[in-house]
Parts: sequence; structure tokens; C-alpha cells
Amino acid sequence: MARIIVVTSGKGGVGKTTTSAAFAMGLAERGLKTVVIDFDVGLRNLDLIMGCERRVVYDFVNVISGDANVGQALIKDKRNPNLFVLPASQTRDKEALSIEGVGRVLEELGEQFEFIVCDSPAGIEKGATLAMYFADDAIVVTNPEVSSVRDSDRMIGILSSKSRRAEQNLEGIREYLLVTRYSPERVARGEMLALEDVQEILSLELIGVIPESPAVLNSSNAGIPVILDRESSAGIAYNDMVSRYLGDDLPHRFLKAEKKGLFGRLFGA
Amino acid sequence: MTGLTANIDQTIPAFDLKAGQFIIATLVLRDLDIAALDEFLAGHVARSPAFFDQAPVAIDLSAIPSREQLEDLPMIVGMLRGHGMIPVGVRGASDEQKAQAQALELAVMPAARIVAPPLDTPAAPAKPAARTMIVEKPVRSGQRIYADAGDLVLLAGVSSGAEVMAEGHIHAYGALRGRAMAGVSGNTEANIFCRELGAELVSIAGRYRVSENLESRYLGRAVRICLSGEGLDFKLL
Repeated sequence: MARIIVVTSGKGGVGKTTTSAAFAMGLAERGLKTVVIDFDVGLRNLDLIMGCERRVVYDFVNVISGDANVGQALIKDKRNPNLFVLPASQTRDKEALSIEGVGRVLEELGEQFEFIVCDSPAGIEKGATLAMYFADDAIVVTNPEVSSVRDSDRMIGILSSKSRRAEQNLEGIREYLLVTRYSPERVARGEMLALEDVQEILSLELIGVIPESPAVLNSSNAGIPVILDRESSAGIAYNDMVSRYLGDDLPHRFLKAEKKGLFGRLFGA
Repeated sequence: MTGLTANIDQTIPAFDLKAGQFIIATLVLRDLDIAALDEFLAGHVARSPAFFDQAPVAIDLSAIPSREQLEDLPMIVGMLRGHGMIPVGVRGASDEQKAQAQALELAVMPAARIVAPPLDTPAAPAKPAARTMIVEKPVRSGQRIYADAGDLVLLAGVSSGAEVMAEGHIHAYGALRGRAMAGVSGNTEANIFCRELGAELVSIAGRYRVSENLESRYLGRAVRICLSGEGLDFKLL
């Protein structure tokens, strides 16, 4: 049975879909059969970030309601044979999801894949709670600013009470903190929370710090998961994060403001 | 330099107007036999002197015909005082009776609801045995913890947006950032002990103070909060 990971946050716009795409691609690159599912019914984005928006025929809701089977809805990634995408419906809304339906689909996917990444919508309502319900692991994506931190804290509380594992008194969901859009310069200026402050408030195992990077926007425009941009700090940081998830104990990078080299100071880059 | 000082620190308002709930002994008058009333009061005071000493007492006039002027009201008030009680008001008074009460500077209180005594008084439910609740994990935003039978011990932090409540004391060993309410059913002896005060609201037996009104010298410090008179008292630990 596959390991189910939910990428969640509470707050919107912090980098869940960017992370889901990068994380799933990172697992696939390491030879692990992975499927990434978009739970944001009605506001789908994962297909854009993965670059498969022109190949969507059937979606998650079609599979739940029996209009199509899983094989017909899954979209194979053109860059990596281990990676598949199950897109969300754009015309329906989250009422179309049911816990039994989601459970059935995840069980079926679990027979073919080693990892199932669930890209949660923002909020704490049905879409988000269904995305997390069956999870074994949770990546809580947080920006280093107060409203995101509070929303993440709320989400962590919900993870520990409204998941299948909590209801069946099993071992709890393994929760990881991923800090995204981190800018050490802004932290130094006091505009953003420092990493230590975020960790102190949330008390979670830190799985990665993704620096603020123009590569994220460029990659999403191009429909490429940012982890494939090997030169960018964000891509490198996501790669480190996948390694840490799989057990490597790597130090965190990009935490300090970069010192400008001689050319940088001469030409003001 | 002028004599003005800029009050940059959080100001604590000089007054607080709160709704309190008090149990007041009520003397229900059915007739105006003064001598009999004197004897009745003397008997009760003799049996429970501590209860009636300086006790606030309300006078219930609902059984006295409303058209009857209460010439004896000043005498009744004086008699209650003589027995050590403090008459504070009347209830169930007619308009004429109200005017008299006001002349005596007694409050006019709302009429009592008639409650028929239960035929079979059910045995009062046994109070749960006192038991301390210990919480080891952080209390996350939006979560609520209620220790219904005694004290609450919090070993990890309480996040902003969380609520912790206890019948007894609250002991917070992690950062206290949410709302903390001790003595929620009226236990005025309850205290809040915390290692790092940053609460959004603290309350003991209903008397509360919000974060804006906490003195800055207590923020982030180890503090003990208890009830002193009608207000909250803060001490650095």
C-alpha cells in the first residue's frame, strides 16, 4: 500500500501546489512510482504547474462518480515515466467529493504507486479535510509571516484530530514543517519572521526551507516543476527536502543573506 | 519640560464595569406584624449568626397588597440593621412602594420569578472527584482544552487562538499565548501560573483582562495571576 502524503497549509498562496509538483517530481526522479492528485475542485492549478493542462480528459470527480476509471483519468508526465497526475475538475465544486469516493480511489491508486501526493486546497473545509483525511504524512507549508504561521498552527491542530488515523486511534500523521518564500534579507530587516521564531511557534520537525526565488514563477509559467531548474536556489532546496524526507540528514541551506562578490558590489547586481 | 508625560505604555483603565452575580438573602414579607417579624429575625440570627452578620438582604414585597402604603418600611429597614444585616433593596414592589424604597435609598430590584418547590428534591449529582488534567502536546490555534475536575497542567505551549479552561488552577510551562480561564465555575481561589506570559486573555472566576491591558513588565515573564478583591493581581515569579 502506498504512502499517502498531504501538502497542506491553511493559508492560501503559500506554495502548496508548487511544493506538491516539485516533491512528486523529486520522488519520481529517484525511481519511486508517484502520483500527485489535485484536491482543489473548481480551482484547479496542479495541471498548469505540471504542464499537462492540454491533456486533461477525465478528472478526479469523474473517477469518483464512476464516469471514468482511474487509468483513463491519470496523465503520464512527459519528462519522467514514474510520475502521473490526477487533475481536479474545473466545472464542479467540492460537494462532488465524498469520503467514500476518495477512499476508494486512493486504495486503487495504492496498488499501483509507492507514493501518493495530495495537493490540498487552502482553507479548513471539505476539500482540505478530505485531502488530509487518509494521509500518513503531512507537509505543512508556511510562509515566514504571522497570518500564515497562525493558519498553519490551526491546520496542525486539525490534522491531529480530524484524520482517519486520529479517528481510528492509530499512530498519528507524521507532520513536517516546510518554510517557503524565505528571504534572509527581509528577516534581517525585521520584515519577516526568522526561521527560529516560526519553529518556536509551530514546534514541528523542519523538513526544508525554500528561498524566495524568481525561478518559481518562471517554472510555473513554463509548466515545469521548479525542482527541475537545477541552477535555482529554490530547485536545489526542494531537492534537499526530498532527500530529507527519504531519510538523508542534510543541513539547511539558503538561510543567510548571500554576501555579494566583488563583481556584485562593483556592478550593483 | 512640560508636566505632560506621553503615555506610550499600555494604559490600564481606571474603571471596569462588570456584571456580577450574587446570592442575596431575601426577606419575604407576608404581613406587617412588626413584633412577630422582630422575633422571627432574632431567631434566625441566633441560629446562624455568621451568615447574617453584615449580610446584604433584599426585601420581597410581592405579597403585600400593592395599594397599601408601607409606613412601616423605615422601621423594617432599621430592624434589619439592628440585627446586623444590611438591607440593599426591595423587589416585587408596587409603584407607591417603589417611591418609598427610593426615599430610603434602597435599590429597586427585578421581581422574582415564582418557582414551585420540587416535590421530590433529587439528590444533588455527586461532584466529580478532584483530578488534575495534564496536557503534554502543544495546544494549537482553535483547539479548546477544559479541565472539568480540578487543575490543568500544560507542559507544552498554548498557541495564539487556542483556549484553555479549568475549574481549578492553570499551570502553563510552555509559552502561554492563547486564552487562559481559571476557576471557570466561580472558584475565586484559582490561580494562573505561567512561565512565559503572552496570553490574549486571562480570566479567574469570570474577571478578565485582555492582552492590551497587561502591563508590559509582565509580558514574556514568569507570572502568577490571582484574584484580589474584584480585580486580577499579577506577581512575577
